[in-house]
Amino acid sequence: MKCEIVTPVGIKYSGDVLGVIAPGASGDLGILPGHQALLSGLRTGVCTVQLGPHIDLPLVVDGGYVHVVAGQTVTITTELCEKAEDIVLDAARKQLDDATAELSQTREDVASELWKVRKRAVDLAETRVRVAATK
Amino acid sequence: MPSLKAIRRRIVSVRSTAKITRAMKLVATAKLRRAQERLVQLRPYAKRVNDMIVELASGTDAEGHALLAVRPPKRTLVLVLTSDRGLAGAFNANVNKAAWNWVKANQDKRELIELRVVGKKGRDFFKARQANVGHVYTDVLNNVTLERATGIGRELVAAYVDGHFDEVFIAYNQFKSAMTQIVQFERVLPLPPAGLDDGKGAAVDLALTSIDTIFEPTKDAVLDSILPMSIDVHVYRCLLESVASEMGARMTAMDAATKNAGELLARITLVYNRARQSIITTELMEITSGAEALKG
Repeated sequence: MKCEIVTPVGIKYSGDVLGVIAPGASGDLGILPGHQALLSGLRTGVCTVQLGPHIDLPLVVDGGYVHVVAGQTVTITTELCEKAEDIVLDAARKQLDDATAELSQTREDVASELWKVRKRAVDLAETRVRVAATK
Repeated sequence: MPSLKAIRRRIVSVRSTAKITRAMKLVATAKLRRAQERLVQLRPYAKRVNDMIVELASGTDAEGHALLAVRPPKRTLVLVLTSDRGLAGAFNANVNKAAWNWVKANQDKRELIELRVVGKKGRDFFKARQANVGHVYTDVLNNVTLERATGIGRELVAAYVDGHFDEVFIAYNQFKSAMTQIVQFERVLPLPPAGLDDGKGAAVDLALTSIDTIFEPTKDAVLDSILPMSIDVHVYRCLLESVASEMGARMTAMDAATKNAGELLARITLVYNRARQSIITTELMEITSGAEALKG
């Protein structure tokens, strides 16, 4: 099946894949050829593109959407997509520490906007560390 | 005829102006290239977002969404995109004039028309005409980011959903080439029902949309997040178009200015040489007549 990952700064990946595991808004989504038409929101997390048997390309995605058309095309539209080689592991670790510290100091309610923003920053930093560690 | 010294001063000043305009042209050329690249990069993204909206709108109950519902236009918001700096040909004047003409033509038909302005040039233009300017954003075009566009987009959506405004327009310069920029006046809200894209993208493959598409978490939730996002992308694209147009217009204007300075320089140099020659001639005449007199 064809897979395309599109961001505002260009097409990040385009090519034939065996499958895609996307971090869907309500749980991870495994998408294989012949999948039913789907349009789902994404959360911040790792999106794994299966290039071949046992060859995975892990990517950081920060929100966005996954769109499956006719069981043959998967399009991931996201504002941010990073490959492992785009990330400096030490910088990502520091980012995670900073984000975690900031979140732990947040006194606002869990449902507040500020808390959500900071939680998302932690999620993003965590995902970046995870992806960078696969190098 | 002005004195030699005055002409010389003039030559120096024209020459340094030409140097500045030439440098500005080079800077604009470099920035134009970057802005164009970003526009090209954004295109597939905008197309995909549009595809998804078509998929969503192809279902039945999509018309009920707040951002798609058409209300009688009584209160209108117009977002005008201008730059902070001048010396860009007719870039700012064109878009300001187009927006102002629209306001004058339509203010009798509506209860209220409010302008929101990006850029100092637009602010000054509309303040001078005592237009109803609601909000001014500055320092936007010199550093366009998706976050900034999202910020502006969210404010537009909020004002529309609150019921403050029944429709939202955007006036900007569309980039065609470095020589041509076309002022566009587009409706942002309410969103057109399907096929948002202007012209080319509208021929969306409707055959690709399917009746039994799964929406996660729910169709409404996806609509709720994707529609505001499409506004952000629209604003972002218009901002990038404006940057490319501004740089294109500045490049052309500065190129013309440099050429004019060259011509002016040639003319003044001619005047200078003539003046110098006439002084030499006069001096020679004085010397020879003096020598004649001595012989006398």
